[in-house]
Amino acid sequence: MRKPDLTRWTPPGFNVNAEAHFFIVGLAASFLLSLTFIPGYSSARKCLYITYQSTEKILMEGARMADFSEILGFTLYGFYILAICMLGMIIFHYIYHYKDSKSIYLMKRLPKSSELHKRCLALPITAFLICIISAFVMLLVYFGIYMTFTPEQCIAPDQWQKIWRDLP
Amino acid sequence: MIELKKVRKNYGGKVALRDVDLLLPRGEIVGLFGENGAGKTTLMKCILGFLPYDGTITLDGEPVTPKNIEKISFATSEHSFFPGLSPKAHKDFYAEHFPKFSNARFEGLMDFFELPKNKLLKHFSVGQKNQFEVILSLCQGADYIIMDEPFAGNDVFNREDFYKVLLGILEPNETILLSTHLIEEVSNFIGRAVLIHRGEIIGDVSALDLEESGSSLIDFVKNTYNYRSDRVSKTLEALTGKKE
Repeated sequence: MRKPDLTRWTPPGFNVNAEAHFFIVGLAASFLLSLTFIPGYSSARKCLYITYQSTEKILMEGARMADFSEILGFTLYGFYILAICMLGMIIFHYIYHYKDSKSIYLMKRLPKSSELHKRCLALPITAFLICIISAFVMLLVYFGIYMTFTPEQCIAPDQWQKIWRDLP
Repeated sequence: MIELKKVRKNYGGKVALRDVDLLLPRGEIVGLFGENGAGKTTLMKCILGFLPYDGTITLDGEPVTPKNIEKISFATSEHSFFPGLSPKAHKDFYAEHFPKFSNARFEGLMDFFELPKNKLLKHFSVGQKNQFEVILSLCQGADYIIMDEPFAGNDVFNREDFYKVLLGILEPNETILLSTHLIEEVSNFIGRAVLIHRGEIIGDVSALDLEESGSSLIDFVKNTYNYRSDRVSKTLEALTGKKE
């Protein structure tokens, strides 16, 4: 597959590779951080059972699983922080046109007046959306895991609603 | 023609331009002179639409908008290129955005100044950066070329050669508005001199009128500014007690 030419979507002369590298590393780190949901969930699920004769697990009567949002905790915060960084990148892109020269004068003189904004906004907004969508996808995956692998009688009602209430 | 009518610009309470009226017809090379802070750069930035102002500025009868802005190019000592790009990449960028970009002129001027085409601009010397800034403004394909102190930092040989080349390559419909402190140096190059002082146009004379009156440009500037030639001797006398 042909690599997309990102230089047309960033300020001319801007180090797009460094920015892309930062984003990919940030996204990978956010994903790894989100994986801490799994041990958190396992631990909470384990509390529902008692172990009989070291091998057999028996569901405790009246056991209640911790709320999904409680187990989720900060696991998706990596995506949110990266998304905020991407919004900060917008400011950085505009400032770039005042750094070492006043290339802003050239950008403001272009017949295509949207060019400046296109190059300053396009990638950070795309990256911002990728962060938010990734966070949402991981949320769905983890919610699916929670609902599938937790005994139904242990799940407190309104789990889905509680997610939105507890989201930052 | 660029026409300024009653253009006024304030920075806070300070008046930077005071009811400026100015006509810049096609085909003229106009020198804009004035002391530091006189309003030269502000005037140019208002023409380019970089600054809000009161009054009217028209470009061939129309307000300056993205539709006609390509008719004006701008070279500034602050530089408006991208330091992280090479001249070749600038050429591609300009060619993409300015349909009248002159590739032949670009190549010719790059060769004249012996500038490297693939080196990033941030690695150029100040003089080379100035030269490249001017090259871009001349190659954009603009009818009106605005230059704000473009040669600051260039050696005199480069400047003199450049004036000659410039006179040789300019098309009859190309207009230059050149702001500089190098009055004597550009006196043979410009066709008209406009003097600005504290935001007001205080002098406007053609080279032909000066020639006919037998006056030089520097004399015209000094007279218009009420230059007191005795102020040096008076100061020295006051400081040293010696009469010259």
